[in-house]
Amino acid sequence: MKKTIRLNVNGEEWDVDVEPSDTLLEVLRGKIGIKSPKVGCERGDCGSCTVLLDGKSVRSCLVLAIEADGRGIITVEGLSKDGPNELQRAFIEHNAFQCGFCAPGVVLAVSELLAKRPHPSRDDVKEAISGNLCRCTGYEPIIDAVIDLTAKGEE
Amino acid sequence: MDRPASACAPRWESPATLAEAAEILRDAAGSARAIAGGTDLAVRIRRAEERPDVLVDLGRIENSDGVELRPEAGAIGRMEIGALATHATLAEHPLVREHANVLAEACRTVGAPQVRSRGTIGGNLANASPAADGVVALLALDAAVWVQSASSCAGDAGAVPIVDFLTGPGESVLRDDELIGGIVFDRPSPAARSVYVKAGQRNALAIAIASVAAIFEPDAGIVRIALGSVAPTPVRAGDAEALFESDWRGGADPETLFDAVAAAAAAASSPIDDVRATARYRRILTEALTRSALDRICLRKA
Amino acid sequence: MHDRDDREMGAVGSRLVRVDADAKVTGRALYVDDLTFPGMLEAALVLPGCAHARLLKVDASDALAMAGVHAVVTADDVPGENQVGVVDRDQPLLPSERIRYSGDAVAVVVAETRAIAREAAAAVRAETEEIPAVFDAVRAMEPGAPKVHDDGNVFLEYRVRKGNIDEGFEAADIIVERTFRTHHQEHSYLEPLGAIAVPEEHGGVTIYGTMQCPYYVQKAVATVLGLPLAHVRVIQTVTGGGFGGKEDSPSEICACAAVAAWKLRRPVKLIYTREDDFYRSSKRHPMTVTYKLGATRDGTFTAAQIRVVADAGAYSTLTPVVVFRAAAHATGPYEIPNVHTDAYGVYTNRQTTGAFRGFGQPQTIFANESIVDEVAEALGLDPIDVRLKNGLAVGKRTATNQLLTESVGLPETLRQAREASGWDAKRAERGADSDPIKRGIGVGSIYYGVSLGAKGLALDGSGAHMNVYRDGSVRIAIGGTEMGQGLLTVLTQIASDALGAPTESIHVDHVDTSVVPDSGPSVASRTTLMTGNAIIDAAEKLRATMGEVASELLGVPTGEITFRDGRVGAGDRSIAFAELAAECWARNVNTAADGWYAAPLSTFDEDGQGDAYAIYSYATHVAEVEVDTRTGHVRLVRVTAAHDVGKILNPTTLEGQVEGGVLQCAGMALYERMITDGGDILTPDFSTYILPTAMDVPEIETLFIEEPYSRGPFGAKGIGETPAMPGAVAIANAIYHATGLRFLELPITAEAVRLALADGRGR
Repeated sequence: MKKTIRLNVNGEEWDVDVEPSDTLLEVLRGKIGIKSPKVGCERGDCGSCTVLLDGKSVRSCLVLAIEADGRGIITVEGLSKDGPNELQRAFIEHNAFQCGFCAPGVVLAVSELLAKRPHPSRDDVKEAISGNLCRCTGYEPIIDAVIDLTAKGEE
Repeated sequence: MDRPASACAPRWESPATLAEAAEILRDAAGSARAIAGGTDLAVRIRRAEERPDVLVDLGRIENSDGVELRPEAGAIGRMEIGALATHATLAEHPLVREHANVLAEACRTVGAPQVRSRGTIGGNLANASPAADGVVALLALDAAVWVQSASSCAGDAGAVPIVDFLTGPGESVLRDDELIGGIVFDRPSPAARSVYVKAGQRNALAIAIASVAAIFEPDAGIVRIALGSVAPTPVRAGDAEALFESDWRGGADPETLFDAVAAAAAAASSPIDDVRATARYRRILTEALTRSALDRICLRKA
Repeated sequence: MHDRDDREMGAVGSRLVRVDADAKVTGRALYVDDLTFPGMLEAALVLPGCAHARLLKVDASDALAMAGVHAVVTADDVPGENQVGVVDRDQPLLPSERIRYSGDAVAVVVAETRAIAREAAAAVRAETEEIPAVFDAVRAMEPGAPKVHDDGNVFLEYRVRKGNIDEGFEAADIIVERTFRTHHQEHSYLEPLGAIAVPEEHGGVTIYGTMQCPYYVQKAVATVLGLPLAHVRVIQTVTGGGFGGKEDSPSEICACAAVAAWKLRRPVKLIYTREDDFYRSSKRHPMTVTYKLGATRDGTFTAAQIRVVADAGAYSTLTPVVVFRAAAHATGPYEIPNVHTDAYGVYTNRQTTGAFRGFGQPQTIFANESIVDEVAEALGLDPIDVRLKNGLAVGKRTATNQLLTESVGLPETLRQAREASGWDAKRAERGADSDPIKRGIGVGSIYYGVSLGAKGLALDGSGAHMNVYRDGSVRIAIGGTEMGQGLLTVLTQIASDALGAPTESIHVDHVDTSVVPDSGPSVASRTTLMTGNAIIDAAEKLRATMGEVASELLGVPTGEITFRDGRVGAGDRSIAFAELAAECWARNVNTAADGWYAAPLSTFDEDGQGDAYAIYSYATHVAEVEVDTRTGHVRLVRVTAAHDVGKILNPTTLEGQVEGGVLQCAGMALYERMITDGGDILTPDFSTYILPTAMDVPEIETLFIEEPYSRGPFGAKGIGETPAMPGAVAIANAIYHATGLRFLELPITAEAVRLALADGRGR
């Protein structure tokens, strides 16, 4: 039975009609037109669908849209309204991504980490992105980009 | 193969309390499912392995996701954990880290950050997988479960020890119209040291192929050992614990004693072959992980 | 061929930031599933899941009765030829009579939404009659084994005969023979296969999809629709990973979408579920490799006898090309005077097997590099010394008797990897017996014939279309595909140097088959080489045309004109490139040009002798492991990866290729196996098919050696696959060094290690 829910996506309010069984991923992509969270596996195994829900990184393919009613969602489009933000620029500089499919999810997982821990260790970064599978990069340049960015902040 | 969820058009209910949630479950007479973090249920609904008529949203219930220590209860205090506490909460909560390190460590090993921030300890317990990391730790802690039904929430008097709560792989005593109301356990002694050791196929996003939750109480001279993924439910290695208790104080050489205790723990396991590992390997792992756990908590080895 | 006198390398060799990074990191890059078209419908496949069966009937009545379902397309609806085989014509797009593996699809359901399409697909009933099936390639070679195709299961054979094998073994002081096994590996690109077919008003169709080989797709769609190639336009969308897995399989999914779109005269999108992708798309060939190596006491190899049995799965797909490469390279990068290799492609009722980074070599590499270590140990020689002693070099001959005349970086990769990894000291030290954690260090070396070689599918040529606009900006259409490797970036750099135009003014597009002629597939590490050279060719033509105008304008002889740093001219007489473009425009001079590069012909006779490939790339990986003997867990600590690339075009993208490849080697060595039970895949998702996570990574050091290839763009050779080749066996050799456990099968899981120790094997 359809319900109307309100989602705040990247600062904009959206009223959408959903079935309770619709996932947040489906609604973001299909009804709101936010394409950056990707369909990688639909089972919560890969992290390509990662979004921030009230600041916490979640697998949007496992969140029912109706559970996000009244909540705030951030995707990478929201981080880069005026062009890539500092973190995204660091990723660009370090060739952190190749095919790019995992990139939005990784950017958000790291964003969550940096909000909690502005100067993470390599191990912190590895743990933060441990739920995001990447097949292209071997993860190294992602970690290097974050350490490089945050180490500079320390100086 | 994948089955879509389009035929699944359930009604959505968002109760304010666990009691209300239980009422909805009762009224739905078996066709309702409660959803908390959704990390298990959402997958099953997508694959049409479950097609509930009603989804009971536990996400709006307040005051059921915290951790409290009641110093006056039990022998030296009792921990009360809300059913809706997430693995992330438990992994980082100062009370859990201080008083029940094994639970914090276990919760930290679950999946990955995005899974931990959503998956709840109550959901994990209700799902009743023999590999559930948090549940193995709770078993070692001699935890008990408050069962919430429409008519009541069985408090301390009716709390079900986890060992009785879990009945088989994916099975518990929980009825269709019941929910987990909370989880309680007596605080281990201040001198206690505990650890969770897990073997998986990789260092993250891994379902345990064998795990050990162990608590050492130096004053009492005992260990409590729970095993995961090597039996139909998480199990306590009673014989191994008894062996430890009888010999630890007697000045037995730790290396020899720990070898024997670890072997006894492996004997307490009844693992199966599955796509992740064979029974033979799981028995060997149980012994190795138990051994490692004892080294760390009894001898403080790294 | 390419005169480099008048071109400096500004952009080439620099760490130019990827041209597509911004779009990817801000979520603006659009992959196929991000696209919609007016009136678009969604599709889902019907996979009966039988391994081998007669197909009696497809009953779509329940599906058609569901609200929102538009059609159920079957073999009867294929207007052209119901055939999608890439090399051999053995593979129907939609089987009508016989199902040969659990990934065969008998129908395409089209509906308003994806959810309805998938649900309706579940309601389509395929009536089948089971036929005896065979699930092992060696077994399938035996007489009496169930036949997957009526002509028999062994459908392909390549052989290499060099010298006299019996004499070779006679001359040996030591002979070692072993049989090795590898299993299915899944590419696991994060973006699943997807396609959109859009019928065009003029009677043709446009295909959008994630793919490596738009021209294969063009051919496949034209075939199934019965259309001339000119009526089929294929546009490659931003591709989320390939690794070879998007070489053959896109033809199938695009053709399915095309047949559905054609029937309904509406755009149809078909996106595989991850499980569909596991069941349907082709994998790395499981191989059984028997390897016998003979050597004299001083470590000189005298003879190699090799037998390769490759599990082709239900249909041939790319097996002929994979087995050719495996046969040609099976000896490893060594000069061996006597070689006897037999390589077979064998049908089974399992998943189809095609291209996967390394393309048949990683499996034979596991065999040959393990054996080399065993021989080294038996002779008391260092494994790197033995490799240096026998390794290919300029002036030496390969197993196909090809004389190597240039660009052989193998010895240098061995020397640099040895030094950088601290090999000698680490090789000598061994963990104390009492320590449960055992350390080991191991090596693997490889060579790789770049591009398609003698038995490649087609004429090995590639094109590019370069258009200089009157403001001096440049747009380039190419035939090769960017799939994350950094192709667009490197080509931008090549074009920049070739024209002397700044990189910011150059834009390289994804492939549109209507613009550039058939450029072959983006496989075999050939794309930078082939498309790069095509761009250089186009630029040469433009420099000639534009140079003439410049000469006239500046009063400078054409022979003295250079294009450099945005200016065209000689000495202090020059004009800005952009200005020159405007002048050309004003003079009606055409400033667009087509470039083309065709690879030199390769040869491979009946005895596998000839110049099998135009040029070879080389690499050596050294891996360090720690084995916890209590649990069997292998921790990959460090990999030193040394690669001969001919010329470094972009160090950053190069490092990225190697780092990603190293982790794929780790996956092959330690984690990844697609486990099947009859027609069922027991690991059909990423929770059971184990990929390494960020918490499983080793330290990686990359070293690049430049042995320029005279015909490569700026001397470059191919690099796409070599990073995914030597690492797995280096890890296996390191595990042996640590524990004394020699594994003949991959992956070497913690369980395999621990049980081997429990059985009393090892040191």
